[in-house]
Amino acid sequence: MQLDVGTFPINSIVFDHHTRLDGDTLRINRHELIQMIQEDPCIERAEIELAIPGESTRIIHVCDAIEPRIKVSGPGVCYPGLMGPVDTVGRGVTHRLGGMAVVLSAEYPRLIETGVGAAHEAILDMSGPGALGPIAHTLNLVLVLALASGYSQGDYNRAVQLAGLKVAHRLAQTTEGKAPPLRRRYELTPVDTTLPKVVYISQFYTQLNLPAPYLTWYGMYITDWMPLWVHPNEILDGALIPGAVGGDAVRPSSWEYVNNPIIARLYEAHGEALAFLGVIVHRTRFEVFEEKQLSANQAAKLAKLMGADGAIVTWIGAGNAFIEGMLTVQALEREGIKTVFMTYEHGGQEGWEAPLMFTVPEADAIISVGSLDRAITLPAVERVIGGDELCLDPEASGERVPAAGELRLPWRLPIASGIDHWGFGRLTCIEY
Amino acid sequence: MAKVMEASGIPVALITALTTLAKDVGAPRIVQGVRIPHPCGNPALPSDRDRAVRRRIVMMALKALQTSVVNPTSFVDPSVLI
Amino acid sequence: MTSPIRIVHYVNQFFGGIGGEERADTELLIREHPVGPGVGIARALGERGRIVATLIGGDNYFTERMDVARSAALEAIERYRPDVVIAGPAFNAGRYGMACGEVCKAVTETLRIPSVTAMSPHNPAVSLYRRSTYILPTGESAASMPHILPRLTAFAHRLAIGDAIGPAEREGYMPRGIRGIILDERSAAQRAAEMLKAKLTGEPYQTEIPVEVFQPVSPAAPLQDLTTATIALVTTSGLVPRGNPDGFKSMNESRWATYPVKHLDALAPDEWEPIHGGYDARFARENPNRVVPLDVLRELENEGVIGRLHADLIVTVGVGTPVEVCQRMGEEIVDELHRANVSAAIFTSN
Repeated sequence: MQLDVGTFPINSIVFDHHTRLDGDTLRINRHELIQMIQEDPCIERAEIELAIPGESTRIIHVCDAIEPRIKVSGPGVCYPGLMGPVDTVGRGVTHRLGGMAVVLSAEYPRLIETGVGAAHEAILDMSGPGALGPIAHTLNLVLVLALASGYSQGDYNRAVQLAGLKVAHRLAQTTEGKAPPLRRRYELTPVDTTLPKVVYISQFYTQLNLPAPYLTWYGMYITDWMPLWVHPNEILDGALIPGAVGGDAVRPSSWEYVNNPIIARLYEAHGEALAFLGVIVHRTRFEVFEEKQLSANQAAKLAKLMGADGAIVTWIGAGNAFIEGMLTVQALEREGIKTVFMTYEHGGQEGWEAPLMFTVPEADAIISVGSLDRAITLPAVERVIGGDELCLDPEASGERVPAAGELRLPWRLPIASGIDHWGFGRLTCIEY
Repeated sequence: MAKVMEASGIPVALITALTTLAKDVGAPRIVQGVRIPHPCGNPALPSDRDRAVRRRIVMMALKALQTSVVNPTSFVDPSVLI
Repeated sequence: MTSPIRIVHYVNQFFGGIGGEERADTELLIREHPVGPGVGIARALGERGRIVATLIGGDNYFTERMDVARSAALEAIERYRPDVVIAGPAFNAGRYGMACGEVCKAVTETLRIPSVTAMSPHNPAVSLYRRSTYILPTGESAASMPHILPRLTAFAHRLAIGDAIGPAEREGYMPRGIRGIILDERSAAQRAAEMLKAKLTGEPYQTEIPVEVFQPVSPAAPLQDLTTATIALVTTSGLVPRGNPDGFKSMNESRWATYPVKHLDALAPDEWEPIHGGYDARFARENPNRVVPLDVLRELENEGVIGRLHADLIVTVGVGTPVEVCQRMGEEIVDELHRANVSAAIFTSN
């Protein structure tokens, strides 16, 4: 499985008569894209705005952010299953527009009121303390979607996601026939057999009660699956991405999935410090302890059968999904596989309280990516994209506040890309 | 919180689906619940049988309250498990 | 060049030159010059400041009459308007360590004056006071005095001039138990790869989050007679009356509430709703008794199996709640249960 990824860095985006790539400037015919999006009856109206890093701009109701990627040779398509057939991807040549994202902003009607299905606000500030994750630093083409009434939650999720994918595809098409300025080859070449073999276990939760249980594999919703052996190139080609259910801090964007830094680091080290074996895609948040344990055991078994000496485990979510993370670390260590676990911490608003909810004695190598709990104040901004008001606490007060004003958040959950689950950035915690 | 209550002299029967977690945290009297979203019931059953499951779990909790324990102890009625 | 700083220094009767154990009852004495270790501090300080007052307190006076002693110390310190307060070093002396910790804590919390002390890491006062002040580690005995005094002085000077104090390991004070967010030089993904390489090759590495071991508790004695017992129902399922009158949040909630259930034979779906961001709420919405088994407990009460079901349901939301908030809520709930003569509790959790 050899994949060449060609990057076309985008340094500016301009609205113009024709959609085309002009060196490192992406020219976009807004009208053409809006027409395309509005063909879907679920979408009543679409607007397209541009948000630039460093601006005093806030994007609200963020559902997802998608990197334009297109396969120019080799089997299948990028974002397979959703944008084309389910042929196995990860081979041939893929082009990407670097440094930009298509950001989806849509306010879902409150069809599911409480519990894990309820939509949570997700805010993306392009500057200031809230500009935490990588998508606050990309040139963002924001699709602001107003949804038509009378459809189901599942219809809306699909409509919003497809709008984003289609726009991303249209933009990536501008690279066809062009030579990418930057090229990188991704291949798990045979290497020195004495090098330690490493597997990456990427855990993510899916919510079975939702019409869109959050994540898809080749377009198929991941329900209560057992762990799956995957080639990292499949992830680079967008085989694993979230549905547009809401991009708060515990739901990384599609952009982050295809740019996973753990995969990047392991590829860099492949053949030098280690042999990168592959990826285990590990669905979590089973509701019965024995199922969590089974899932953890099966992931460790897969790693063992594939010959792993070491593993890096990451997880996303909050609450009891963390238990699977710890159980997996434990199961791996018990199989003799040396494991590093990456996680955010809790610790309460000031950092006094316990960093982790649940631990196992085997978790002796943990990387901290900062805290979810610390309060953060987002300053007032000059411009808001996506609406005028937002609701930070739909289940308690239901109060709507002006989106442009100062926002005092009791924790980081409402910040899109607000938790660095996979280690893009340098935030961490240390003891004072 | 259950631990704080026990430490103050009030016996507590903790009904949870996550019994291993409760054990690791050190809760003394742990009663096996059905599933995380419905620890005291089984929605797949008709309502009278759901209620019968609930009664069995509560009876097990009452038994736990009357049992002397030293270390974290699980109380499980296998018939309530799905 | 900042203006000279003013220091108040606290020592015990021994280091204050008053006497040994026989003088441990000495009440607070004030000297307007450096005493004992203070002489070394003043020398290390040089032109940068001076000890404007030394407070000398007997170890027994302080620990046995703590409220009186603390007030006296605070009043004295306030009069001298120091920029920083230094206490000790106490080395491994337990009562002296407590007195140092208490002085520092009082001064920092009540007067908002920064403070620093020093003692052995094994001093029992460390676990009690590490969060309230800065504690520098010393050896077990006064033999380490020459080593600690310059460090103590330098640290106090930084506090006095308002210098920002960094993480514990870098600055050399005992960890206070606060996890602060900082920026590392390397990305977390890079650090993960490096930590794994170290682990695989047997090289040393340091975990970024030390793993806690939960302390067990002594279980309460079991109920002797169910038929006379009052049983309370407590839940972390976030099940609240419809409309969420107390405005519970779906996550990271730090409050609890009681709702009367005395008049109810069961929880009706149109009267209750689950506010909880961590589980699929539809099963609880359809039949709330599946998370709070009121129907069955009322039945058992009517049958005489249990004496009484407590009149109120006690509720909080158990997701994203830090351990110490749980502890505090647990203590408050216990007060409520004791007040109501509750014999036991059934606690449901998701």
